[in-house]
Amino acid sequence: MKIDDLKINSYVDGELNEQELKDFEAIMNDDPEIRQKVEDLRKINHDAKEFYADVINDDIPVSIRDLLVEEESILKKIFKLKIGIIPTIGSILAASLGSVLTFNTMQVASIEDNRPEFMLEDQSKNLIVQEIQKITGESDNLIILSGIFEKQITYSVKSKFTNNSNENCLNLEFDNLNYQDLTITEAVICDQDGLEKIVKLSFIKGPIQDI
Amino acid sequence: MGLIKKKLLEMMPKLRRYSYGLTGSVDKGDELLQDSIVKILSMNKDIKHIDNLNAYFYKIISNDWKDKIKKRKVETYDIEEFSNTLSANDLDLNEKIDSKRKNKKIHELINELSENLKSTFLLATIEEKSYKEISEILDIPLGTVMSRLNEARKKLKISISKDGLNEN
Repeated sequence: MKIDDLKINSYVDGELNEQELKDFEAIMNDDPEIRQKVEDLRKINHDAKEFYADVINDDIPVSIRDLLVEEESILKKIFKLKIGIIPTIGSILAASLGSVLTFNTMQVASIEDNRPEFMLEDQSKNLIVQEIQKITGESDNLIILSGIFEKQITYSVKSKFTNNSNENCLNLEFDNLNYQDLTITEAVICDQDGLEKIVKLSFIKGPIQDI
Repeated sequence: MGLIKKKLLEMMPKLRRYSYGLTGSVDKGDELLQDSIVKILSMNKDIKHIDNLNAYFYKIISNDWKDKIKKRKVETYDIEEFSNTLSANDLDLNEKIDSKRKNKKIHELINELSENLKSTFLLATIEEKSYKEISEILDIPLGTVMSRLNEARKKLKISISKDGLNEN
């Protein structure tokens, strides 16, 4: 067996097969120069490993962890916040954000089936996702990953009313509005001094099942 | 998607260490890793068809790093800046590293290697990948893996001798 630098590297990295290993060690035992080279390589490896060992024990940054949190955690976080959760039909949950605004509805008009549909604009999508993130504490990175801006989402106006603060409100119903594992079915948006504010969101976990 | 995230979380410390090794700093390493994770998740690939998921993640990070250094000149790593970053984040670690000036020097020397030599050295020595795996990750022949490793270690040995680190 001819021992060159490549072979010495292979020995140090555990890349020799059983026979090669035997042959290599037999030659090395009689050759102090090879022994020294092996020792030098092992020292370089040891020192480098010792330095990098500290990194592996460091905590994972929150920004990276946020990208990988289990999808279920978004619902768990909402439950932990003890927001009023109103179960309706089946698995439908309605999480009221009414703690921000006192929300006593006074419905003045109702629009039934065959409602016209509109495209949901990016600004409105952002408003909805931001409300969810306020509750869950999720980071902005998840907005991009959710793919919410790439999809065309339609909505219709389910009802119009004024609340007890005399603000004009719309109850919107969405078609295929999903964020992570949530399907957002409805939102109530009120006009507060010219600024739109979401006061109620309804969503279910998972996609809507066909009846 | 759930399985990919689970695997990524399992491998996170190692992937983070590799990204740190490539970029030469904690912040840049985390930035690289974050970008690579976004890329992996957005690919939405069926991981059942990937034979070696472990190598696949390393490959994405390696390629992402190659793209980044093509796009912009990589800043030189500053060991003092790294110490300052650590002092803000982790005093114990900072003390530990301060007491290991020799190892800091090793890190500086590794960082001075060319990108090709550095990635091969890190994968073999720090990540303990086999030559076959390195060949897959970096998309290079087995012989190139061996020659790059040999060259990297030769350069490190010469630099260490010059700095007198081998006397400690």
